[in-house]
Amino acid sequence: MILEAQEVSIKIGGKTLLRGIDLSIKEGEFWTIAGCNGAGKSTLIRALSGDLHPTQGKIMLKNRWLTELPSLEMAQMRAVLTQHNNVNFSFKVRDLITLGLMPHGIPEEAASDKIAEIIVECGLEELQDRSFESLSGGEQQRAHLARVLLQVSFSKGDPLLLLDEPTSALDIAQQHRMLQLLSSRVMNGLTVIAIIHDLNLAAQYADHILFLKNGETVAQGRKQQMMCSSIIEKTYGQPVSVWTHPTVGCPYILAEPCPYHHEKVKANGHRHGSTKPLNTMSQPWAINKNNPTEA
Amino acid sequence: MKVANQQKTHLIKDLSIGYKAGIFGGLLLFLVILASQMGVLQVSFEEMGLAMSKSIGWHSEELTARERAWLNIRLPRIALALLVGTALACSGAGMQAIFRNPLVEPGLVGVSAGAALFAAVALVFLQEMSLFNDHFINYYILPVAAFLGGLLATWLIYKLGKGQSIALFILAGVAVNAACGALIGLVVFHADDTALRSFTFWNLGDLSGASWGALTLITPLILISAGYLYRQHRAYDALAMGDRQAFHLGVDVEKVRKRSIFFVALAVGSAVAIAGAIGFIGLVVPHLVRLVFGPSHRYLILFSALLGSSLLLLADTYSRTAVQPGELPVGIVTAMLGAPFFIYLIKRMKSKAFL
Repeated sequence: MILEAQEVSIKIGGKTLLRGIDLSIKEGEFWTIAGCNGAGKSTLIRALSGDLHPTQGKIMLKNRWLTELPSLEMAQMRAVLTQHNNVNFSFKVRDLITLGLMPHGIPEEAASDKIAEIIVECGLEELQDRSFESLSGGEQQRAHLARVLLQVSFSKGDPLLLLDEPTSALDIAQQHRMLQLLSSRVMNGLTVIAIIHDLNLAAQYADHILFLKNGETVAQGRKQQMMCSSIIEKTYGQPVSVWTHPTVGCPYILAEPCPYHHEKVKANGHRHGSTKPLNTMSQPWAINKNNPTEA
Repeated sequence: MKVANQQKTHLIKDLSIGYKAGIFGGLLLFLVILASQMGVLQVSFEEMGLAMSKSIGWHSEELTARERAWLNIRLPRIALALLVGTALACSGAGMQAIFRNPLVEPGLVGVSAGAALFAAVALVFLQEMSLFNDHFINYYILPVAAFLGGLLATWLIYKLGKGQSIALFILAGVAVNAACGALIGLVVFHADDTALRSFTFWNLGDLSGASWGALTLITPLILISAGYLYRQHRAYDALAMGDRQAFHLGVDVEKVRKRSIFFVALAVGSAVAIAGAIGFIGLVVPHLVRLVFGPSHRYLILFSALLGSSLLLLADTYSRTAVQPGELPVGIVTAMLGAPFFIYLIKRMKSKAFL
């Protein structure tokens, strides 16, 4: 067990952000945390990374209590990418990536092969001498990913990576490129816990999913069990249908218009004087819903 | 003209770190030689060599008055300029790192304002009570009072501003600086002409108080502080990404911040105690170094020391020689150099933001 949470609750200023989260993550698993905005995903990542102490419950990293680990030792065991990362002063991309060596006390020269490898893997060859602030949002995100990958590749023992929305600013090609990179590392023993909003990305690359709602676990487990319409609807209040990806074979989620959207369509329809009955608008999806594909 | 200028800065930028260091080191050496020769007392190389060999004991002859003046007034003054420049510039770089703000200067932690307040109180009230003679107050009580005031104000700001956000700390700094300013005003209002004149000079910064005795007191304090700031260069690099990322890279953020503030207060407190409040060095020098060496704090703190001492030495040499036989307070010179440069920096930032 690389990371274990027991009955973790977090209260800040009288508001309960997390309630009774149990989690046990084994080496080499790729976990996704999903849930609607404000469900407590980032709070959970912060708690698991030792940044926020639980008001109740305990978290263990490699059989040691997180509260008793000094920050340097923690940094040698795991890397964390937070959600918002602006960098002051115009550091070069390469300097930023090299910061990943800091907790391990390895000089840059000794790790130059590894640095070059990661720069290529993240597609940053041409950007490495640019200043970080001159990059686009997605490029900045990849630079930070490269940094945490470097940090984790020198970890003592089994490496662990915690990522808060690592793909939110990436285009579709880069999303898949980065997640493929992560899952190839997972094959080699890396453990990943990532917040990913796009359920289809999660379904394609993760092997375990935890659904959060209002700070509580809705469901958690292997993705084959988690990717069913009832759990997703319960989490988000959004009707979905689950299909099978035609080529990859993993679960694939399609959203359906929910009642709220119907109201909007109706209002718009009346305003434009449309006489089209509302029912026909949702007809195509209604047909799909009668084709259960979850089997 | 403009294009040529840009090419020039790129030329320096593209040089390897060793060459850059050589250029800056050479500049400092040149300034030290220049400063030791120029001034009311003009000294040739032979005289300098003779005076030094006499003082070590190679020559058995007595030192002449000129040589003694050079050894005991000029040389400690140069050493003080180097030390104070180092203290202010390194502290500035460290402060900008821990507050992740390029506009912060060492004075923000309140050390200058606190020192000025205590110095004003010491000058005005002690002179009035005339328990001690003026010389004793100026050379012994004033530095000690300034040092204590600086540390006290820093401690107060730290206690007030301790918490999650940097904004809180900066606000506490503003509040304590304002309170000190008001109290200084009150003391100055109460002061007589002589005290007022002494205080004004002290407040503008003045390196003429240099003596070997004062130097032996502050040298270790400043060097230890600068050494601590240099040793934390990796932590400062990590802090550029924010407290949380620095924590995840293994930096004990609260500890580093607290100790950095302590050592900045120690270094700047020592500098202010002997040399008075000298502005702009701590603010401007780190920016200049960043332009040439980039933002990495390993080079930033090292070369801030080099460039800070060069700049202050240059300013002090100018202030000694410009209005002979009188002397300009060096704070006026640094401000006159620093303010236009700062305006240039602001304009540069503006144009960069729209690129």
